[in-house]
Amino acid sequence: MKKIILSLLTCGLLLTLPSCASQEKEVIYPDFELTPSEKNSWEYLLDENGKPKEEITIEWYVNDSTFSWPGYGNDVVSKVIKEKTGITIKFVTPVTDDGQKLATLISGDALPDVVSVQSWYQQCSQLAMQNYLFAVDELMDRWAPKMEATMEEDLWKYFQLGDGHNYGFPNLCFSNNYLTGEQLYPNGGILVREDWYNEVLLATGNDMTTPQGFIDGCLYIKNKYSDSIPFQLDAFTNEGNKSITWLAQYFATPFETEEGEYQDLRTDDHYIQMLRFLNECNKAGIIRSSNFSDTYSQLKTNISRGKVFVSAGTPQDYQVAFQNCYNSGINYIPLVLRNYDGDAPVLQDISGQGYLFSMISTNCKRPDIVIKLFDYLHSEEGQRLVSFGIEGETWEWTDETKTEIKWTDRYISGALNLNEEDAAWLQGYGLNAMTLMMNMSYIFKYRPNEGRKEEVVYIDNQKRPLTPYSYDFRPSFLKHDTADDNYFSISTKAKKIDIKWAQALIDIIQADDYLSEYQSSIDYANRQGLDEVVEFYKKSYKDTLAVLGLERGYPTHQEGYVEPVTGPNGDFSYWIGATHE
Amino acid sequence: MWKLKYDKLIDTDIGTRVGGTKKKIWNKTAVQLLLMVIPGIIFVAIFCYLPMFGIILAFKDGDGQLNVLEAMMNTEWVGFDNFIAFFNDPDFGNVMINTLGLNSLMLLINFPAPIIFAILLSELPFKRIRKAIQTVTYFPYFLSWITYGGIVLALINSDGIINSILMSCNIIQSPLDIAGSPEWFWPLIIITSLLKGLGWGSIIYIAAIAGIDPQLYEAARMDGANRWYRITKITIPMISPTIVLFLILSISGILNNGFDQIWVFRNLTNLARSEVLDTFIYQYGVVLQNYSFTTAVGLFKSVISITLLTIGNLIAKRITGKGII
Repeated sequence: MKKIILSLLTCGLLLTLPSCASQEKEVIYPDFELTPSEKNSWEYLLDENGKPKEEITIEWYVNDSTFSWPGYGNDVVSKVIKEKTGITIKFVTPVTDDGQKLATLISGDALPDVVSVQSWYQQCSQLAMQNYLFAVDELMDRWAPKMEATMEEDLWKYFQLGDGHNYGFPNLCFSNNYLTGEQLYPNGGILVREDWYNEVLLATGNDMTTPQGFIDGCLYIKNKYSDSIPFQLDAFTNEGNKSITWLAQYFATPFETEEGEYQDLRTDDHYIQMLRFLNECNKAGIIRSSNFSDTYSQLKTNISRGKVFVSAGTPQDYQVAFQNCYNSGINYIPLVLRNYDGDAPVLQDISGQGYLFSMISTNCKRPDIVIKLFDYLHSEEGQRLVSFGIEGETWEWTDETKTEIKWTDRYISGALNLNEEDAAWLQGYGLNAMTLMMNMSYIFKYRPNEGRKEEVVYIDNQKRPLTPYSYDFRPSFLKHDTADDNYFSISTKAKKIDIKWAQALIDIIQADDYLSEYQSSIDYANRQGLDEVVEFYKKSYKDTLAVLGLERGYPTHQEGYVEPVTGPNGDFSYWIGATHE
Repeated sequence: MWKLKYDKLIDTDIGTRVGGTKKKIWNKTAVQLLLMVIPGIIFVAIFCYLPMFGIILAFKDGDGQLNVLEAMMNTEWVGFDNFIAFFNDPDFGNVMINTLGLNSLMLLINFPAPIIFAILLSELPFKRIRKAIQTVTYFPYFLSWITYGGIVLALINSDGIINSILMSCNIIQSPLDIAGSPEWFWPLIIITSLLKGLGWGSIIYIAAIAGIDPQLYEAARMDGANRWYRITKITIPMISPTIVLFLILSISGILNNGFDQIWVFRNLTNLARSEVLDTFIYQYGVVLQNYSFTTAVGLFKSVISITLLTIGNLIAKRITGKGII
């Protein structure tokens, strides 16, 4: 009996082995009828009665646990998308943001029709190079011929891979095409509790813009309010700490050498100054020890309770907490902290490199229809639908030139909660839920300023006074040659170094001798191949500058840079839609 | 006497069932039993044996491949390079110290705890109280580590109830950063694991104790044996086969830390004591897509476990005459 079972098992296992053998993936574009270019591609999805010729359901994986479209299927926006394209979207999101779900989908070759992944993740290019994705330019040529002409050239070039193809569309990007020349506000910022800050000013006469003044101000609050958290940093995670990223910019740490070559921030003197500052803050006891292990939700709670005096981080991550404070009469305003040399901060503006990059996988059975959906969502008509709603219902053009829009009375009534029925109607509209193809520069250009609640205006304006210090940092988002044989090993080394650095940061901040702790961490990074990584990145940096048409990438190295002059809290004339008292 | 009875029973059982002739094996009952076993065999074959082909990944250069099957089939053989990379990794020493240190402590503290608890419970004269204690101690087992860990983290937070109590009693002057200190990590893991698994872990021993012939206790009582003697001379020897079985299994799992628990309490500040093999594999293998490297580390773990299992079994056989293999 034993022999029989053993033989059966062995045979079974041996038979299954050949089925495991796999060939390298190949991208095969299906043979659907080509789409003519007389009309917009999505218009070909409808029959003569304006009804979709075909109705299909697609799966769309969004690699962000916070993404949700709760009213999908019932709200106006999703219904219009379905009416225009015949597509029902089934969104899938991970439970946590640890990358496990994405890794499982990829390793099991179970990618759904569309995948949206953070644009800076190496999986975006890896998926493309290992033939898991359709090149969207190829799809456009076949089934959305007018789409490529509508793509923003700067973004299109920036996201093009070494093989000359594009494999997806970024969202929340700022294309030069729609920028009005107006400076954008920064992505991160240091915010101080206004009433306590005024107390510090009165008591010490110190505006807290110098490192020592900052520490003294925080100490004053610590001593006066025992329950306060004088200085709160973002959560420390394996990906690093956002506060430290922004603080490095406050300390004017350049990502480029004087000669115009890429340099690792961590090796620059300004960065070391910033570490010294944090170390001094820790020694002064203004950073709570639990800050190093607190999660985002604990940090949010601290802000919500109004316990935090200075929050250095990404304010938009704590919007609800800041709104709660605002509703309790506690306001936060920005602070222009300078480095030990008194240099002006050089901050990254919100243009960045987008957030989620949406790609069409080769598992998609109907790429001919899905590319039309993308074409629709990317079009100005699609942008207006997801952000502003339907013309005549929620918004209308101000005149026949169609260059400016205004909200309808019903929209304003609903948005400002003036009428319960209108508020319910607007809530069920589904505006701003479909963020996956959102073009922020288009929306910023056209969105009217009225119709916002007070707290929304306040949140929108929180960082605006820092605008004079904010610059386009796109050159720092490197465009790597993913076809290079060394790309994966370099990127793995870089990630490993970054993870270790994220851990080392805590040791440096808490060290008695921060410099020797810093030196040993840098030595460790060098042993792990930091030099190789920097060499590879130097080439990527040159390529990035070339794509952006720049000779120098760091703002202060560019011609015409003039150090801005503002008050200690920035320039409040940048408030839009309100006046700061 | 008990052993003699037991051995006789086993012999008789085998005698009646196997009985000698081969024909008897293929009776109706045997076929029915075999049919019932088949799904289990298929399950084990698919989920335990089939994935074993993945071991070849440990000897191939599959890092950076997105698809595991492609990493297995379409990549070059690299011999023991992945193992060497792991042994040369700067974190190797720390990871091994944490894994072995934490598990050894767990073995020392958390392994005997359910046995002691089961014995204490069985000695409790009040049935209702015993049932109540059992129910209360089983409950945490049914919470996931995420939920349970979340509750514990809220309790030990610097604003949490534990710090508040300690401060209000003037035991400490400033809040303890339990979740953020490496020196607190091992006690935290041991205590939380003990609290969560104590009740559930004791079930098997309570069952074993319940199976002891009450006549043995009565005889001992008549001979004047006090409670301590009854425990040490009857209860413990009678449940020793169960203890040995679980001890051997625990020793073989000395490199397994229980990923969920560690992951919940792990953060960058306690990494010096919280990075264990399981989290290391996840962080540097799965997340960074180093599938070959990960497989090599996993295989290393399995080889150590099998070796420990064999050694543990041999030692147990030598000392008690009982083993599991």
